Amino acid sequence: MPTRVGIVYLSVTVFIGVGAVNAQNNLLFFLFGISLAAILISGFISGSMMMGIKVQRTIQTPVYAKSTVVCNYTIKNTNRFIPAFAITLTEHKLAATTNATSKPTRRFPLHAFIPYIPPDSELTTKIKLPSPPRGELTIDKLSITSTFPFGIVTKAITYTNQEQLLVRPAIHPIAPKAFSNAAGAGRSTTEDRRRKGQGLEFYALREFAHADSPKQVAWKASARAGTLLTKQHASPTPKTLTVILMLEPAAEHSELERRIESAASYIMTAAAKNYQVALEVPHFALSSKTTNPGTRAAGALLDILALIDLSAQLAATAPLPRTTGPSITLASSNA
Amino acid sequence: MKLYTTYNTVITLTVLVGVLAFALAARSISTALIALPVVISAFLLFRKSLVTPLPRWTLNILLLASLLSLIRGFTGELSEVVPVVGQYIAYLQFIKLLESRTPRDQGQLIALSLILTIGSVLTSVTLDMGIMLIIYVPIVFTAIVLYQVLSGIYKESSARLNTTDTNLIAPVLLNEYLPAQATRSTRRLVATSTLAMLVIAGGVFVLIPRSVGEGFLGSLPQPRSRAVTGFNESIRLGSTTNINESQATVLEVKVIADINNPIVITPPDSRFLLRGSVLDYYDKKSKTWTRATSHTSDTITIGTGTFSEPPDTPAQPTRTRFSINIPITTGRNIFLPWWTVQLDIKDNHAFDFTRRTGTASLKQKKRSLNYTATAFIDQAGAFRVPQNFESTYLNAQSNQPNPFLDTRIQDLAQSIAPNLIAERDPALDTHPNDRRIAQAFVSYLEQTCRYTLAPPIVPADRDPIVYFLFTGREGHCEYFASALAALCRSVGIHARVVAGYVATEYDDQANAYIVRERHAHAWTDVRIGEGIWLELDPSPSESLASLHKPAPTVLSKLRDFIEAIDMFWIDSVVAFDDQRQADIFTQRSEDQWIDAVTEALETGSTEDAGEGASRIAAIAQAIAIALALLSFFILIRLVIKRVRTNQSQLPALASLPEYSTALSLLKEAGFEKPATTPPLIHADDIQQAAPTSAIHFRQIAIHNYSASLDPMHMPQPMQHHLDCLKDALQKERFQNDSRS
Repeated sequence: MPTRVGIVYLSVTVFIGVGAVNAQNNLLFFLFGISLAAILISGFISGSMMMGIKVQRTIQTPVYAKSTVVCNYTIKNTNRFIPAFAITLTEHKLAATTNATSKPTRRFPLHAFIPYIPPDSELTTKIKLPSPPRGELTIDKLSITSTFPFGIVTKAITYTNQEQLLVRPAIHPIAPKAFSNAAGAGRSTTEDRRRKGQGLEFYALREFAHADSPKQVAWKASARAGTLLTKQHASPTPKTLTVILMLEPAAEHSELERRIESAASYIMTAAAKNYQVALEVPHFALSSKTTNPGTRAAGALLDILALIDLSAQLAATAPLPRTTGPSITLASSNA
Repeated sequence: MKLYTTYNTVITLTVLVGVLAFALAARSISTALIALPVVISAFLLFRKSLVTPLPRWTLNILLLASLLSLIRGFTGELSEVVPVVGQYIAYLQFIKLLESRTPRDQGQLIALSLILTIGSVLTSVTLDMGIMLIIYVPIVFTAIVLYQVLSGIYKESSARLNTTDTNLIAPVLLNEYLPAQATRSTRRLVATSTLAMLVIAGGVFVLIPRSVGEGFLGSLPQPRSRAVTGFNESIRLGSTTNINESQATVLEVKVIADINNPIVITPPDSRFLLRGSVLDYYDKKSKTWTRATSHTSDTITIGTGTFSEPPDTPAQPTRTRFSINIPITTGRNIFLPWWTVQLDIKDNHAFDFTRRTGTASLKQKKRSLNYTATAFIDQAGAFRVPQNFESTYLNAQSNQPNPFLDTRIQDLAQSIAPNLIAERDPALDTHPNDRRIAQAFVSYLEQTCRYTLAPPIVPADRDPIVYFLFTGREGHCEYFASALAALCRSVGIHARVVAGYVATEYDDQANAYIVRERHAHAWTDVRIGEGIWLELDPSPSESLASLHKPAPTVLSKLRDFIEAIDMFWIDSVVAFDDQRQADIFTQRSEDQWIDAVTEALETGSTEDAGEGASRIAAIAQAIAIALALLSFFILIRLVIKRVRTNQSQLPALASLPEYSTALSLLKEAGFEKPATTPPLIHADDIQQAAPTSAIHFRQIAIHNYSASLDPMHMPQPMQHHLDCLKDALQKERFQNDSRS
């Protein structure tokens, strides 16, 4: 596709041609030939250059709302002899498929410029996408363009494969004191949930096995029993925290979003403190709990929060769920 | 390669070459003189900066000044439009060159440079312009390529930093490097693309139909083609630049001495005067001979291309035929012998014929011209022109003051032929003695004045003819002809100066006279009877041919060479027309061309192969030479690369004397390190055969690497390892020998 400069160039070429014919000026004929040759060579160079370019996009996950998304691109020049110059990589737009309240802060399209790729080699570059809204996100088509070598024609290759992303709610840091106040000290659960492990708490005694460390030998009990006994320790019992998220339909949309973000923040803070976290969203009849402590397991709860569609019909009222352990309830102040 | 530094150099070169090409085309020395300091200053100013140090108002004033120069330069003449606009564009480029280096300004700068080049081509099509164009193409190509990369980086930086302030973006651009591989790639790309562009442009040049649509938008001023004739429509005496010493061919003249008897061969020492313009008015103030325009009734227009009029001659002279070819016409003049009775112009071009002077000119200028002139050649050289055109001329002459009624000239004329002049009646237009008087003047001039192409400078307040006759006594043909005309007119004999060419150089191979620019000549017509004009050449005839030829010097040989290229350029490019185009495709079949070229190359002679084949052979030879030079260049590059590679590998590893000694010891012990094997790999290789030696050699090699690659490395004593290596090698070699 000709650029604006290209259209001017083509007009000037026609002008030179007409001038040469009118004046029968042979040097103008030669100049006209050079102008035409430039168009041909431009097409050939840019065409062969672009045909050898392959792009692969990888996105750093997980993705959180209100934070930049870094897209990494591996651009490979498969031409054996022809280098690639002045390649522009363009991300055209993002499309949110769930309800999005925030809009991207930077305007699309976004570009990355690659001055030079040697023949038969590859390099990487990245584009920081603007802060996406919470929910499901589609990254649309990607294209590479170049006006090299003369800026007359823009050659472009568009990759139409869309990529789906789940954007988790934004996470805000929560002060340790505030967390402690909200969650309480937390405590271990009942004895029946104890199991042997690597904790410090005593679990049971068993007979000494060949590979046991002498440090583990319960000397007094062994003396009493007349045989070598080894101490077994109980597994450390994780502390649990239930986050109750109240999403009353009467509340404002932004307020609900803020609560979702708070819930996500508490979940991640608790997970970072090795809590086992449970999530209760009564208005959506959602209830989930991590099977293991840690942030990786808590990611599943954040995914649930990411998928909450506030535009859906909500239950007008919902009872506050009963919890056995410490819990944090995120609701309106008069709730 | 530092990208911006390279771009700065290339864009400076682009502007410089473009402006110099324009200055050359428009013969504008002032533009060239302004260009050099401005371009060099801009180069130095922007070498490490993208931001202009000049305040905006300065640039605005410069813009205004250039606009004023544009307005002032317009004279309303169409021929001046392109040079004046070109000058303005050149000034705009200078201003743009001094502005901050934003992509927009740089794009405009390149566009202006390209437009200026088009203007240059519209102004001139000379060889120097062609050479400038061929130099310009790769430079501007490189500039555009670098501009593409640089503007991309600029825009990306602008978006990333969220600013359009060049001050903030400049550090990014100034520190942008392209790897060495990119530099090589760019060079290769530019070289191959330029070559391809020239080849394609050559193809387009040859294939585009000529003489189709000529002038359909109206006639535009023709560009300067360098094929200027040495002769002029007027003669200005006292000027030092009248004589053109160029070897460029102006006319090719084939002569049949007597058309009634074609066996008669023209003697080899024959010379023919071919008149282009007859100048009968001398302006003492401007010291110029010009054509009188007051009486044009003796001029007839011939629309059929053929004119025939038997003259009223006293005797039956020899009828001689001149077949004349003007390869490139620069004016409308048709050069004719005195006195032409029949003129046939090829393609029936219309022309004007002035019977009184025997001169003709085309109604419309043509690219080239072929014509045949049949003339009566008489030893006496005098012919009676039709009477009815004389009266107008004589009346006009009598109404004008005689500029040669100078007492000194009259006294001199009286002293040359006192008796003959005394017998002459001044009241009459002619006298039987007039021929003898004129010939006496010619003899006098031949004896007293010296012919030279470098006449002395005539003081501004002196009349050049008087100065020539009485003081300088040196001059070229124009002075001789003017002096003769002045002497004749001073005593009342009508005389006029004729400008044209003298054909003296006979080419045996072409069987034709080759008339070059340096053969431009001037002589005199003297009226010796009622309507009878005698053609007299007062310049020394015996050495005229040699005097017209410049002295052979080293520079003249160089000039001959350049002029040969110039002629090739004019012949192959400037004068390339539909006829030549048709010749390429229709004259010979491909096989015939190949045969002719092969034959020409094998025999080394192109005589039998014809003109076209000889040209092709010359091109083939040129291509062969170019290929040989290219191969030589590539070979040199390879050798240099090899040497550089070796240099870059060896000194680093042989930098420590201990390492060199260790290598020698290993070699002596039979463990010589192959040149291509890294030292640590070699240590591994000899590990099994000489384990202790390998340990010590490895230490020395590591130390050598460190010393070579790390400039902060502190030297360590290696003598211990070297001694150990020596001992270990002795022992281990002994062990190996005893084992074997």
